[in-house]
Parts: sequence; structure tokens; C-alpha cells
Amino acid sequence: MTMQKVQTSTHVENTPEAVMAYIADVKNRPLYLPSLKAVSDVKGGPGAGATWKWTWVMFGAELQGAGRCLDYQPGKLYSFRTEGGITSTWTYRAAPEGKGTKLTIEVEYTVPERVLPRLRTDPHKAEVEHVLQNLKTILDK
Amino acid sequence: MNGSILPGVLWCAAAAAGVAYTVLFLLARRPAAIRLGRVGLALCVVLAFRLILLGVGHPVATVWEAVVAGVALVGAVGFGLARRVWLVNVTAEEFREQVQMSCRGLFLPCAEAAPGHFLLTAKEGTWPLRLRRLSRRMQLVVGPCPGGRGKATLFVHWLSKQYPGPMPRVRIILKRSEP
Repeated sequence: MTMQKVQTSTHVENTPEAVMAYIADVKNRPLYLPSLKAVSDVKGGPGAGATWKWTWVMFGAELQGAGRCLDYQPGKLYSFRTEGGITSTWTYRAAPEGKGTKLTIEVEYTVPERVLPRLRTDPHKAEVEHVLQNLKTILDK
Repeated sequence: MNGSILPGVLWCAAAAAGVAYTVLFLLARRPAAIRLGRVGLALCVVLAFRLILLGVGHPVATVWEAVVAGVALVGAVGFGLARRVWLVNVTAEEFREQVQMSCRGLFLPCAEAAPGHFLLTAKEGTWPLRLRRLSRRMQLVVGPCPGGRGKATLFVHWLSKQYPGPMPRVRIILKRSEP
């Protein structure tokens, strides 16, 4: 397995507190994550230790797994990890920028080495850029 | 017997696929939808295959086949024009609740001016969403058709994920690998 990392940023016309509060609400996630169909069985608040189940749609199949919040600092940081066969860690960071927020998403994930040479483009990068664009669409005032 | 059996096989296969698709939808226990635009697209594919057969020497040999092809063409055009129409297997109350929940999540104001007549208002414009009850668990939805990447587009993407086609999907449950 090889660890890969994707990082991308954008400016959102909203406060860091509002941006991170929206991201920390697990139930909002299917609205802006293109391949995420649903989250269910959410246990715990938005802070560290909260867990949920997710359903991801890929190539017409539905993958179901679990997620766990690793850290939540209102207005600053939210991090979670997907657990099971597909392991990835998503970290959202917010910092004041002008009258809005600089929002950065960093995703670390593992890919089997034999698959790596076949990936012409990084599917996670496209997904993460889409997520960022969607969050901007939703949260821009 | 005039001509080959290939055109007949094509029409029979298309009809069988249509019946199977409809039966799967009617029997589906999970949320599913038939989107008329996709049915129109499928009819276009069938017509394209028939044109290919025509090109390789299988003419329209009977009046019946001409009628079937005409109906398919009219259907393709009609369903294409009605591409915003979806049939969904859910109660009106559940659908209404889902729409309101997703609009709240998208900060997309959604007013129900009259029962089943929603108006979604975003920066880019206002889009109607109609809901008409066909039976308790079968609704006809005329969705918005926004362009670009606004909130209404996100709403339509979300709706598509919640109501996929009725074809059975492979479900893979990933077990936790950590202790």
C-alpha cells in the first residue's frame, strides 16, 4: 500500500465558524460530496469520537463503510477518517482571509501499489476539487 | 419470410428490456426512479442500432416494423422533451420531507406555493419543482433543470443519488480492518 496526499484550497465568502460548523455536520455531507450517497447511524456530536456509516457510489456499485471524527476545533479544523477496506483521512482547515475564509482540504489515502501505475489521473484530486467548489457554492453569502 | 430475423430480435430485446426495467421499478424496495429522459436515450440507442442494421442491408420489411419504429421515434422525442419528469417510488410525505431537508442543507429557499408546487430560489434564478401523486407510493416529479454549478444543480445531483434507476446494484460492505 502507498500513502497518497491531495491538498487544495479556495476562498469562501462566509465566516470560518459558519464554514466549519457546516462541514462538521455529517448529515450535510451527501449534499456536497459527489460520490457520497448517504450517511446514517450518526452517533455522537460533531466532536472527536463521533461515528457514522456511509454509502459511496462508484462504478454503479455501492460501497458501505464507517467514519470517525478525529478532531473538531470550531472555526479552525475538522478531521475524520474512513475506516474499513478503504482508509482515508480528510482534514478541513479554515482561516480568516479578508472578509471570508480560506478553506483547505487535505486528503490522505492508501492505494494498493499494483493499482498506482494504472491511475492516469488521481480520482481523489478531482473529487476533492469538486467538494471544494460545491462547498463554495453552498456557503458563499 | 422476407429479410433476416435481426430486426425482430432487436425489437424483441428492446421490448423485453423495457418490461424488465418497469417490473424492477415496480418491485423495487429501495428508493428508485424512472427518468423519462433516460428512457428516451435508450430508445435512441435502439433506433441507432436499427439504422445500423438498415445500413448493412436489413430494410424495414413490414408495415408492423415501420409502425414500431415510428412509435419508438415518437417515444424518443417525447421522452427527451419530458426529460425533467421522473417517476419515483416514495410517498408524497416522504418526498416532501426529503426535499425540505436537502433545501435546508443547501440554504436553498424552497416555498410550496400550493400543494406539490415548490419554488426553489437561488442567486442564479428560481426553478419550479412539481410533485403529483399517482398512487400512495408512486409520485410523478417534474424536477428543475438548472444549468451551471449553482445550488439548484446540487439539489438535482443529490436527488439523482437518492433515486437511482431500478437496476439492482452491487453492495459491498467494507469491514473495519483495525482491531
